[in-house]
Amino acid sequence: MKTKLIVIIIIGFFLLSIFFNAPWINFFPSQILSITFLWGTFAAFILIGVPISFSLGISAFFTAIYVGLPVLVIFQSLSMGIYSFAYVAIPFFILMGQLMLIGGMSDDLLAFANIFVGRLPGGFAIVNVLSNMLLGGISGSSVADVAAIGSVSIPMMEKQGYTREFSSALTAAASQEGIIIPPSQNMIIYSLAAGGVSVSGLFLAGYIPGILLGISLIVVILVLAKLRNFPKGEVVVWDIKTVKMIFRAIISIAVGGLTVFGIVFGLFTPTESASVGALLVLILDFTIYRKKFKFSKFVNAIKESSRTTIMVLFLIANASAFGYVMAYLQVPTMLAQGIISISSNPIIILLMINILLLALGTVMDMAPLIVIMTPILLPLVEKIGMSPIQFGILMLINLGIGLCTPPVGNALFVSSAIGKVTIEKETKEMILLLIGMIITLFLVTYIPLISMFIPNLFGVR
Amino acid sequence: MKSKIEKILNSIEHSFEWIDSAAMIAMWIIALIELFFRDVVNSPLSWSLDVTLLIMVWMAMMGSGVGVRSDLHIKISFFTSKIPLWLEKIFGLISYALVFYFGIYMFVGSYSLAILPGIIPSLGISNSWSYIPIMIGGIFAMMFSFEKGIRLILKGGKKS
Repeated sequence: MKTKLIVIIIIGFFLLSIFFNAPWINFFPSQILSITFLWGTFAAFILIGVPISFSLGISAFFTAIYVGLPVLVIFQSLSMGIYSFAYVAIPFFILMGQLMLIGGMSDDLLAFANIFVGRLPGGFAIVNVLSNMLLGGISGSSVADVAAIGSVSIPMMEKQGYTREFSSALTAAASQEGIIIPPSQNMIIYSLAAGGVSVSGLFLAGYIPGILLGISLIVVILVLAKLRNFPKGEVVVWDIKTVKMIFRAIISIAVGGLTVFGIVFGLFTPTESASVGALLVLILDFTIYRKKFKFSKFVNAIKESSRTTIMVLFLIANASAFGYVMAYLQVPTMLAQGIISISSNPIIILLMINILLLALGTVMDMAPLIVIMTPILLPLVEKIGMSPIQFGILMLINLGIGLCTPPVGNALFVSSAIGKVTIEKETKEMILLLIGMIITLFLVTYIPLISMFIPNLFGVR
Repeated sequence: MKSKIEKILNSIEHSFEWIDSAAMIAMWIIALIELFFRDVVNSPLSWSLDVTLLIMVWMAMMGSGVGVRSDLHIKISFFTSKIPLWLEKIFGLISYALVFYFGIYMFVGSYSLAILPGIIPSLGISNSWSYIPIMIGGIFAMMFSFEKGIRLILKGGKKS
């Protein structure tokens, strides 16, 4: 407790010194002081518990006052930051994910995955990964996937003799497929933060890294299966129920594919594709999943989507105000120069970027980091010749790993709540899975073809 | 008196849950209608995109003000967890004061922008329609951060 208080007092004292131009800090260049003030106030605010969105806006506002920028630009960015048609896709992708949770689509995908990999040692753990992969092709968020898959798979894995800690950790790690495999609302956020990188390019680029991420987790499971004697999965009973389940699962996967390829082939804009995708999922809820459909669940899905939408959009609005001040202070240029002055070797630069994103990902959520860090890092990676599409995938994997790590990791939190295990115990089990994920990250970082092969095939660059 | 204010604030929060849901459905329906008119009827609508966008901005800005009450916005809690109540109160009060202060400027700043001339071309309505929701969001942010602050001051000795 004492340390926390001392940390806050020191940061507060330092920031006030900057704001009031105290003589003991005057020898620093003014640009450095302004940047320190912007980031320092932001850090101090989030530490004392101001919501991240407000922290971004308020620190931009105070910095504008400090550097003598007209404060109206902050409020203009607040409105104009989300005043773009492209953002309308975000609420619809969120809605699609929520509607998907209503009908029990995840149960079918688990059973469907079991047909293919259930026989392997560690069968049900692999089923968990594969079903997350399939679900990732329909939903766009990892937290929704943890809730959907985890509530079924964690108790089932426990029944088969896996520990709750491992089951929860695996579900959290595998749910990152939801972010990497398209459609993905976070890819839309990245596309906008990067100034309009092709959404279809990003979507196509996600498939191979997503599959690779799944394979890396499966390899970890196979190794552990030997060491810990994991059981095989359930034996598939071929009857009419199984055939019906396969039919339902294929239709669900096709709906996800339609939203992605509708965009890729230019039939829909991302907004239209998401709205149609949400409608199709609702139709599935009404028809093939009608047994589990309840009107109250539908109302809850709408409420939850609007809540998430508001939270994400207000965050983006404030981040754009923060981004405006950051651009005014030339932070992206300075950081690029700083990193290049340490090393001009692309391998080292990318390593530093990965470490930076992994570190930030442990303490902050995905959406704010995408909107804050993209404008800073993108000019740098473009300078060393990386495609913005590949960088998008790299960033999402990095921040996805961050969602599985304490102190701030939503996938970890949700899975530990569902699995009823402590964060500490789950984190221990997470370490091996993280190694697999980090290996994938480095493969995606240093082999451009992994992300760019499919976009190149479709002529998207 | 206290319960009357609380009732009013509760009803604002609950009605906004429904208003936001209605906005979500309205956006969805308009987006689908737009697609229908463009691809099936073959006569694209000129107003639909701007209306959807305006609904989205109104929903996001007003909802975010109300979200201060319902703790909608994500915050980092590892630093403020496991601290004594007095320190929790100090940190909490500072953060609510900051949100309150920002709320004032959301109102004042957006008001200054709203009174400037300019129209949204496709709808032919004033630009101020895109700033009014921030003003309302600012009022809600002020109101609810004030309420939260008072609640925090009144909070008893037991840490919740």
